[in-house]
Formats: sequence, structure tokens, C-alpha cells
Amino acid sequence: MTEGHARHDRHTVALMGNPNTGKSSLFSALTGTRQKVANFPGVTVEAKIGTARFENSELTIIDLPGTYSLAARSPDERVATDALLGRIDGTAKPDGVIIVLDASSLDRNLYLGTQVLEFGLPAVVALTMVDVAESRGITVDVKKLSEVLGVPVVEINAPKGRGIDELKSTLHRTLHHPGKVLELEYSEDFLRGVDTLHEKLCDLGVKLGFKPARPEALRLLVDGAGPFFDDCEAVGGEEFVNTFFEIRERASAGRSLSMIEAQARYGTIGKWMQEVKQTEAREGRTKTDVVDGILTHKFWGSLVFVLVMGLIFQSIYSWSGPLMDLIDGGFGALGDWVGGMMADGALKSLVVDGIIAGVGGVLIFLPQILVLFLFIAILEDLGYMARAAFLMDRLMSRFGLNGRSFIPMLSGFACAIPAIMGTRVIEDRNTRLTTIFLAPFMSCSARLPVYVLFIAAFVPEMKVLGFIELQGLVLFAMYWVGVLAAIPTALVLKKGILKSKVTPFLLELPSYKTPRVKAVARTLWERAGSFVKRAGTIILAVSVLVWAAGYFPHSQSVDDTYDAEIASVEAEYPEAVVNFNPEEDDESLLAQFKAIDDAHEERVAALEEEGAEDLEEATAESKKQRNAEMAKLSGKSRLAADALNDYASWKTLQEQRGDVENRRAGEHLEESFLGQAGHAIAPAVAPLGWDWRIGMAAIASFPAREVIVATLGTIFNLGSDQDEESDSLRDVIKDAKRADGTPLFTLATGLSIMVFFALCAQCAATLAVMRRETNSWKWPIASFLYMTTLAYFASLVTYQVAHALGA
Amino acid sequence: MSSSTLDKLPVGASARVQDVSGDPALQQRLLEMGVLPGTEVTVVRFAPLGDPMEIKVMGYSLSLRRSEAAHVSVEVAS
Amino acid sequence: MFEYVAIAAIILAAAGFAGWRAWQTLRVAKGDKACGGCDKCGD
Repeated sequence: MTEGHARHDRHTVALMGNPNTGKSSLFSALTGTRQKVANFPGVTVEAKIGTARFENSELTIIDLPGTYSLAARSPDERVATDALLGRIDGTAKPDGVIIVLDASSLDRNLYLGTQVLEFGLPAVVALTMVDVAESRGITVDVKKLSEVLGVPVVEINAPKGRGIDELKSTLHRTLHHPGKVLELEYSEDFLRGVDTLHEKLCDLGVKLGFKPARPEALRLLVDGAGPFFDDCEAVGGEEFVNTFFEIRERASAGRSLSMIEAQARYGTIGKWMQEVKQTEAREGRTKTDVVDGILTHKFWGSLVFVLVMGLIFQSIYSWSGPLMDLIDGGFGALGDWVGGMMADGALKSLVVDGIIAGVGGVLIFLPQILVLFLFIAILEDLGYMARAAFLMDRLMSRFGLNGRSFIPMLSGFACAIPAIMGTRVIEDRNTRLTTIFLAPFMSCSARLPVYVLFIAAFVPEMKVLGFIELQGLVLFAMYWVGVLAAIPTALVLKKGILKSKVTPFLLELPSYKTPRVKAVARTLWERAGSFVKRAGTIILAVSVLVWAAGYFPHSQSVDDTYDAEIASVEAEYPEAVVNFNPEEDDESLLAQFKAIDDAHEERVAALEEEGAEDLEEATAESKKQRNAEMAKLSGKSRLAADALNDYASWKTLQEQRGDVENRRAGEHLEESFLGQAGHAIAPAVAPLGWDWRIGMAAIASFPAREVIVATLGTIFNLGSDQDEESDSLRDVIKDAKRADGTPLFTLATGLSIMVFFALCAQCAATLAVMRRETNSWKWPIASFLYMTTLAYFASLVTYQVAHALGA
Repeated sequence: MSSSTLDKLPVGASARVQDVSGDPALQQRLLEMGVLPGTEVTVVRFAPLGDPMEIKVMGYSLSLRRSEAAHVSVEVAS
Repeated sequence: MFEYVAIAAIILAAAGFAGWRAWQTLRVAKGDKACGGCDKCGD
């Protein structure tokens, strides 16, 4: 940032600290809702950028990813250093830095703290978790800490909002003074090494495109390898590499450079702590110790893990039902209302069958996605996710992966894209490639709508063992399909083409924290937002295109044939029956009979809705009442008696008309572009239990899996009589018939579709990210072919077995 | 006093770190996380499947694999 | 007449949008764009 900016009281400040220190709560407390996500080119970690205000000044705060050290072995780990030096496009060089230190593990937190202070930027320390530290008998002398560090220290409690204003005003004062570079006691050889290397780097500076800072020279000296070394090697060539290793040799004087750095830092920190920290031995165990005694226990821990996972899947069903019915009803009513206002024709079909049916079919799954992410957000905030990694590492390492693969895999259950991007934390290339290849097997949230639709339609609502919902159980099983397919895949990859040695797995197990309502709500809000946005943009567009492909060419000759058939059917009825239009006529005798009949049907519908136990008796009762009313009316005059006959004829005619209209719609769909393509692939998907419509929907959903739900909505709405009231997609597919009149979807077909979608690679964005992360088309192509083949055969076996068992 | 490696300690045992070896990446990582000569470590538990293990170091809990802990030589006060 | 103009416009808009997204996806594949297209960032 230029000086001009500084005078106008606009500052940029970097926020740095270890993971699990309350850094993000502090960021939220400082910036509120004024934040956005910054993308750093070429790396997967993201930083949030927000604005905080203090009196008349404005602070731009860059929330850098939590890290234990500035040592950079991967491009991701270099982001922090680059950001501190203002080397990231689109973000200004920070005028200062807030260092977040966790009072309950101050020693380790200060390791990063000393590294940052060596940059010499104006700095303020935000001391968090003071209450946690006190509960463990640790007291931190804030004034002493400030003295030894040479920077102001402010005690804060972000969730409670304490200390935030003081932090802002301290920061405001500090930013107007130059910072001080922290000098640690390294050996002379080491310091000489840093200086020599720094000079050498400055010589390379022009070619590197930036002026290297001294702390960077220190990092390069100690780290030896990594992205910065690669850059230097690229511009400095062999000559640089040779000099570099000579300098390292001399600086180390026979010892390990990492050891020299660590001992200098922790040595100084230890001395400081004698003045700053007082620890009084506490009897008994901390809350976290007690909870961990259960949650990571050999038996109880595993049991809780399985139960928690089970609970999540069960709740997805039992909690979201009412809300889903509401959305379902809302879209049905919207379709009817809009349909009632528009004239019959292509435009109405586009709006009702294409847009409303397509988008509504996807949006209905919002409640379930929210329930899933509610649990994930709570578990993450609680600190359970690290325990899950602890429990699972052994299992993962057996398949050649490690605990670091577990986290990306876990996010794969949300979306494969962040999962693949998250694999950059895996240092070993082959482990990373394996994880990338496996991530799409984890059941992402886009598969959820597909599962939910078919489970709701074909798996009976019942309880197993008295309390487990069968539907939830099937959903749980669907998530295992992907995992079970991933395991042999991993073994084959790791034993074969991607062999590698085991990589380090060091993981902090943070103390448990009460989940913060705000943080959880924010995650939910973001998830809901992106889901709704997808439904409103790409899914909307695809729905329109699928509608067009399923509507056109809509040839006149088809209409002519069916118009002629209707005319010939109508010719057999008296004119009064043919011309009766209940929407315009509500007075005639015919209309009065219809009113009596409608009343009966409404009573029956109401009974069904209630789920009345004596449904049959009550229906018969209502029928009796209807017949009596009709007899009373028809007995009044001869004319009325004739009208009753006419009404009966009209009902038959309506059925015949409906049948013709259904066949007309069906033929239009079969003749459409979509229908023709569907018929072309029908033989290939027949063994899966699919007809041409499902095959077509599967192909149309190549861009994104959840599109299949929208596509089915559009296809089955197009293929039905347009005057019919819009049913929910769940009911529509239950009623769908094959050409021979048997139900199209059975439990076997439903399972076959679900298995296919659990394993297929129907996601263009995932394949694109795979291409970028592996820097080769080889991986996405291999992934697509492998997953599609696997999906096809797994689906084939599922259908044939389920069918043979009579499902 | 007896020398051993961290992975061989039983649950509940405390020891002082003597040396940290292993390949440079692992060594650096361990040192950064506070596992360096002179610090005291306590074995808290092993994961249900026997690996990884959880230790207390510098007042916090760290999980690491036994194969990694094998690179940390320790001295047990007897 | 109006009906067909409206339909043509909607379909063209949808095709245009889908095409634009496909192009964006390709840019991600080539590495020109940092975002993975998960829509989280609103880009």
C-alpha cells in the first residue's frame, strides 16, 4: 500500500495465527458481514477479506489460513509469506498484522508468532482462550508478554465481543508507527548464512520479479526445498543451486538447520514464558480429556462414530419432511396458478413443464441439504472432525492414504471440487493423485437429490428394529456404495501405478468447544445460497434446453392425427355432452350433478389425506350420500333424469379425451429430439432396467448430477396430459408406465439408478478441476471412463439381482 | 534413566525428548509442533485401531503415527 | 407470433448461459481461473 493511502486512514491488516485459536471468530467479530472470499491464483487455500471500521478509519482485514509455521513445502503454505509481503495480486501489502495467540497453548502459538515478528511489520497480539487457559491453571501476564514481544497485547473474547474495540484502537495507534524486527539468538554461522543467501537472492531479484526479504532468505535456508526454491532454481540455474547448498553447509555447521531454527525459537519462547506464564498444577482432568476418554475410546469411540453418522442420515429424513412438503405444495400451486393464467401452447409448456417443474424438482431438496450441513458445521465447530481423522487414520493408511487424505475425502461428501482442491495439503504427489482420483467417489450433495427422490418414491416408510427409519438406512447405504468402490480402487492405484512411501501425519486435537450459533448459521446460509443459486442459474438453463429438446419439433401431423381421433370419439356423443364446459357453466343440471360428484370426491380426498382407518367404509358411505343426492335431483323431472345420463356419458368422454391427450403428449415426446436420442441409447440401458426416458435423463445430466431430477420432472410433465394438475415428481414417477403398461419404476429400477449416480462421473466441473490440479487431461479422462464403466456394471448387477429377488 | 523411542512408551508414560530424526520434512514438522530435544511428552492414548497415538506436548494434544513417533528418541525417568 | 419470439429468446438465453458456463469450466481446466466453479465464491 502506498503512503498516500496510509494518510487517508485506510489500512490493510493481515490476520495470522495457528488453526483452532478462535481466529475466525475474531475475524467475524471485527468485520461482521462485510466479507468476501479472496482467490489466490494457483493455490487452493482461500483467504477471507473483510472491512472493519474504527472511528473515521477503515481497515481491510485479510484473514489468512491458519498455520503452525511459515515453512513452505507446498504452494499453499507459501501464501501466508506472500501475503505478508504484498505479493498477491489484488491484495495490498499489509500495513500491519494481528497475531492471534491461544493462551492455553502459548508456547506453540508463539513459534509462528516469532516467525511473523521477524518480518518487522507493525503488529498487535490478540490473546484468545484466556478462560480456557485459566481453567487449566495457566495465568498469562499480559503486560509482561507485551514487554518481551515488544508489541501491544490485547486480551479478547470474540464470541462474547470483549476486547474487540480495544484491539481496534490499539491497532489504529500501532499502525502509525514503524514496526520493529524481532531479533532471535541464532548461531553466528546461521546468521551469516541468512545474510549471504539474502544477498544472493537480491542478485537474482530482477529475474525473480520481486525484491526478496530477509525473513524469506531465512525460510529458504532452513526449508531447503519447496516452491520458493523451485522458483530460484528456475531463474538461477545450476550455479545458484550449487552456491545454495554451499551456504547451507556452512550455516548448519554439521547440525540440522530445522533443529537450529526450532531450538532458537523455542529456547527464546521458554525464557519468555518463565516471566510471562504461571502454571499451577491442577488436579483432575480437563473437560476435553474426559470427553476424549469416551469419543476416542477403543470401543465407545468407534460406537459413537457409527451412531453419529447414522443419526445424521436418519435426521435428513425425519426432520426435513414437513418443509419439503411445503416447498412441494408451493411449486405445485405455482404451476397450477401460472398454468391457469396462460393460454395453452408452447409458451405455457415451457414455463410450467420446463421451468417450474425443473427448478422446483431440485429446490425441494434444500431442507435435506441444510440438515446435512447443519450436522457437519456443528461437528466441525465442536472439534469432532479432528477426532474422526484420528479414528480413521489407521484405516486410511491401510489403503495407502493418510489422515491428510481424510479431510479432503470428508469434504468430498459436500462437493468433490473443494475436496480435490484441498488435496494440495498432501505433500506426496502419488498420495495426492490417489486422493484426487478417489474424491469423486464420495457421495457429494448433488447426489442427495437423486437418492432422496428415489428413496422417497420406492422405499417404504417403515422402521427397522423399531426405531431406525428404513429410508434413512438405505440412504446411509448409498453413501457406503461410493466408499466401498473407492477402497479397491485405492489399493489398485497405490500398489500399482502410484506407489509411494508413507507421509507424515501430525494433527492437533484441539480442545472441544461449544459450537457457535453464528458460525453454524453462516455455514448454512452459504450452503443454501449456493444451492439456490445453482438451481436459479445453470439448472434453470439446462431445464429450458431439456424442455426445448423434448418439445420440438412438435409436428403438426401428430396433432392432426389426434385431433381426428378426438373428433371421431366426440361424434358418438350428443352435442350437449361434447360442448359441456364446467368452467363456464355452473348452473345447468349437468353442472349440478358435477357439483354433487365433486363434493363426493373432495370428501374422499380429505379422508385419504387424514389417513382414516376405515377408509373403505367411509368411501362407501360418501358414495351412498352422493347417489342419494343424485337420485333426489334426477327424480325432480324428466329433464333432470336425462341430465344424469348425460353426466355419466360426459365422464366417460372425459376419460377417453384424457387418454387421447396422454397418447398425444407421449407421441410428441417420443418424436422430439430428446426422444429420438433416448431411443438410440435405449438398448444400451435396457439391461439396467431403464427405458429410453431414464437413459435420456442420465445423458442430459452430464453437466451436473442433480440435473437428472430436473430433467425427469420436465420429461414426465411433458409426457403427460397438460390439463392435469401438477403432481409432485415423486408421485409422477410412481405412476409412470412402460410401453406395455407395467410400472416403469420399481424398487429395482430405483436402486439401479441410485447406484449408477453414486458411482458415475457426471460432473463437468469436477473433471475440469481434476485437469487443472493434475495439469493433464489424462486423469480426468481416466476418471470419467473408469467411473462410468464401474457405474454401468454396478448398476447392471444391482438391477438384475434386485429384479430376480422380485423387487 | 532409560532410553527408548516415543512409539514404545505405554499409555500414561511421560518422557523427555532427546533427539528427533527422520526425513527432513517429518523432522521439521515435529520440531515446529514442539517435539524437540528437552521437551516433556506424555502418551495419552492410542487410536482404537492401535495407530495413530495421541500425546500431550507443550500443553496441547498432538496425534502422530507410531512410525513417526519411532523417530523421536526419549529418555524415561525411572 | 409473440409466443414464438418469446420462446426463441428464452431458449437462446439459456443456451447462451449454458455455453458461457461451459467456457468458464474450460478456463478452470486450463488453469486461467482459480475458482473451481463450485459457486461458493459467487464468481
